Amino acid sequence: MPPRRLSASGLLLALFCPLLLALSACGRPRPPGDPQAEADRGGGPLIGFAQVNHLNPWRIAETNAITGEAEKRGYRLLVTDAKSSTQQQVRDVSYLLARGVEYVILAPKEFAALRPAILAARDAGIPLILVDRMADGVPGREFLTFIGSDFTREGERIAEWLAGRMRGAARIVELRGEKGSSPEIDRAVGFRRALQAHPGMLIVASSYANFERLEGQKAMEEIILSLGRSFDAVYAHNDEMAIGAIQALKAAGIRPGQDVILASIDGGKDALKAIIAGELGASVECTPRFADKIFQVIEAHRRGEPIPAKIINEDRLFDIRNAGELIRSVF
Amino acid sequence: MFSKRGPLRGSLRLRLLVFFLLVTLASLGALSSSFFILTSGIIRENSKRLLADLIHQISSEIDALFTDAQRTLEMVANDPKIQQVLRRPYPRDTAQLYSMELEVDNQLSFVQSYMKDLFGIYLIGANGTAYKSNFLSGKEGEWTKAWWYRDILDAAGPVWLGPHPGSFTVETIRQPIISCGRSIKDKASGRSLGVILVDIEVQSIERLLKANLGGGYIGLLDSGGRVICGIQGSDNGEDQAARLPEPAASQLRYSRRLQVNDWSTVGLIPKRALTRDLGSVAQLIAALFAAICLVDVLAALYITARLTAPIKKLMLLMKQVETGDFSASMDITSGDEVGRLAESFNLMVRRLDDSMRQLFLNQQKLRKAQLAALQAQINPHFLYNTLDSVCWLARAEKKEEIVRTVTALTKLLRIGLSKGDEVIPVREEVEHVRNYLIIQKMRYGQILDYSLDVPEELNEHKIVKLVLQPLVENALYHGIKNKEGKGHIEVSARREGRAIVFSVSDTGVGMAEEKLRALEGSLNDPEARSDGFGLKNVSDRIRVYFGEGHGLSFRSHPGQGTTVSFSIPLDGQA
Repeated sequence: MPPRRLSASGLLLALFCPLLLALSACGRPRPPGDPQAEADRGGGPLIGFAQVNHLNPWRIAETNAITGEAEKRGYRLLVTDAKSSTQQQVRDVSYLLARGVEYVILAPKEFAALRPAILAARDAGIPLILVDRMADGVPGREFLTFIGSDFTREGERIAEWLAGRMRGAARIVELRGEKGSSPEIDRAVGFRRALQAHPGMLIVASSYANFERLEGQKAMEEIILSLGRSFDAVYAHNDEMAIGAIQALKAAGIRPGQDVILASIDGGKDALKAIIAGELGASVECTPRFADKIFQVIEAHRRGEPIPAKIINEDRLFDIRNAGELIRSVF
Repeated sequence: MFSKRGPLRGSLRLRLLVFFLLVTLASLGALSSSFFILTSGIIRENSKRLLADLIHQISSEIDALFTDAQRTLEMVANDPKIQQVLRRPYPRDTAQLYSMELEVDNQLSFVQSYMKDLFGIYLIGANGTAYKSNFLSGKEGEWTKAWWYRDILDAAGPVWLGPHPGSFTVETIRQPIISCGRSIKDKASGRSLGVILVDIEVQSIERLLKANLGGGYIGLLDSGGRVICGIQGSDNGEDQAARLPEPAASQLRYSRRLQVNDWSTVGLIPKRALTRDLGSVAQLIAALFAAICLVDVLAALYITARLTAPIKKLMLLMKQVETGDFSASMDITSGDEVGRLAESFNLMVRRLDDSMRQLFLNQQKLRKAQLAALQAQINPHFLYNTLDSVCWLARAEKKEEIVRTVTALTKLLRIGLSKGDEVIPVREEVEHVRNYLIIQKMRYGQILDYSLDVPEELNEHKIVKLVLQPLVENALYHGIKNKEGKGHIEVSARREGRAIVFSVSDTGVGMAEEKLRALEGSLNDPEARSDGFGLKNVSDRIRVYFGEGHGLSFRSHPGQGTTVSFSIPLDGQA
């Protein structure tokens, strides 16, 4: 839509061109940040949370958990949504700092590109807590701490589970997450490290699908077209890609859970449904519900207590044995 | 302002200045205010039109989005595979249920992937199943008992639900969402299979509202006039989500109903935003006004200075003339009225100078002539002759005649002196010449006859004194005495229109043509010396007194006599 201005600028321009040219500036850019929710109740400390996006259940569950926890503990919370844009997220952090938050919670979209945001917070003297993913910086000096799951360990656990399920021999298709993000890197590394103990387990294809269901489906379709049926396991870096892949396999007449065994990471509700449906083999939890830990860290820091450089969540592994009973406990 | 004795007070320049400024200010003021009124009208009209255009455009965009949503509902509801899924009873086997759920979810997500602005598509089966197009975690619940499910199921067509926090069926961050739903009828049996629902984030409607509107407000209202979403444009271009402003009388308002449902878009422009634009117009006009005034004042100062400078100079020159300095002269630099004025002034001064000089010369001449006349009158020769005659009369003991002669001489002298007056009544002048003739008759009784013919009505008119006597003397000495026998001298006066004509006629020798010319020539030549006969003296005095047209004129024929005449204006003065 072209920028419009409800004024007589046009008329005046025609009358006094040079004078008013300067006055009629149109279409200024919007300020950075797009505050999604601001819990303004009470006069508690103001905390900023720079979220990547709210496009998948994991992110939504994480934001809701943090919002709920802030409310419960009497904090005011400012949430920004970077809409999957790294630059926007850097701007969002500056915006939060400008709004005068006391702590910044940052869920970095990328490892290296968010360094300016970390430095901005450090320069402003505002403690920054990294969640979910790692970003380029020194804990304790450039940022307060990292709270999240151990992605490498997740990869290792899937590899161990698959090796057991496949009895040490399988041709594995890997669906990787957002290229260059720390979960993608670490889950790939952990998986491969664990596979070294199982020489019969081979990765025959590896494709990026951006952590998304439809992209996972598409990537799986392409792999089926090129490999035919010459693979018997799928390792997806998250549930969404695995569920997409299941639909692709079904469409190609391959029975997930029987012809091909799938395993993924995150442990969301749809994944547990797929496990119960017998289509997904296992999912390692990567919980988005660790808001209590974030606020414990904030409160400990406010009390002046020492903060560990890294806080790792304890994650469960779901498969057909426990999915039915745990489905109501997942996000 | 100006002090009472200030240099500008009462001056032409000040009046010109004031006049210029008043005229300019009045016309500028009238122009500016009519321009301002016109402009404010145009701005208002323009704003109205722009607002209407904007609302039409936004309405059609929202309509397009909502129409897409309704088509999607219809498409999915009528899909045979979906109908089949909903017809099946609730699966007993959870694994089968979940497998089917994931499969249908996937199908719905494909549909949604073509509809970028839809947040989610949800199927709620009457059989208890629920499917979603997005991958958000489904909420737990018996949807067939939800109020919205019942509302949608009962309605004949699509139902639009106003903003609610978050989706009804999936986990969200509780952002405002609007929904549209319709019931699904089994194509085979007409039975209700459930409802289909789409979610649209209010944010994606807000994006459609984002038009740069200065200080205006644009919103989407539901049928009850409640705001679904709205943005308040601010002066710095940062639009913000906002509530509907309070209605104000002076704002522009335009609203348009959507075609899809009974919601409407509304646009408001507060008076402040309108007047802000007007303010800049007013500022501009004021600036122009000031600039023009400044230029006008400078121009007026310059023009009035140029106009009045020659007049001032003229005034100074006039003062100079007043003090008697006739050398004053103005440089003529232009051919306009002022130039012509200067020309006239110069001419006038020159004429004045000439006149003054002439007057001076005339006065001088007059004094001389008077003196000469006086001298001529009392010349010793005449006195000697007269006294000699008296002596003879005494010897002859002619007492009566002595008395007459001495009386005549006395009167002659008295009138000649006449208290120094230069002008006397005709009566006295005639009396003077009569006495002269009485005395001369005594001496030249054998050759001289005379007569006086002056009507009494002329007696009181004024005449330059001692003009007749020299003429009579001439007539006697040059006319009568040179002639054989007796001669007659007639002194007469008569009225001719607005003049009195005096003539002295003799019956003496007369003059030849050339002598007559020579005489007239010498009288008309201002440089010629007096002829000794007193004629020039007389002629000059008459002329000085009564003007150039009043000189002596002669009529003469040799042997027949001479007539000298002159005229004076009736009232005695020129």
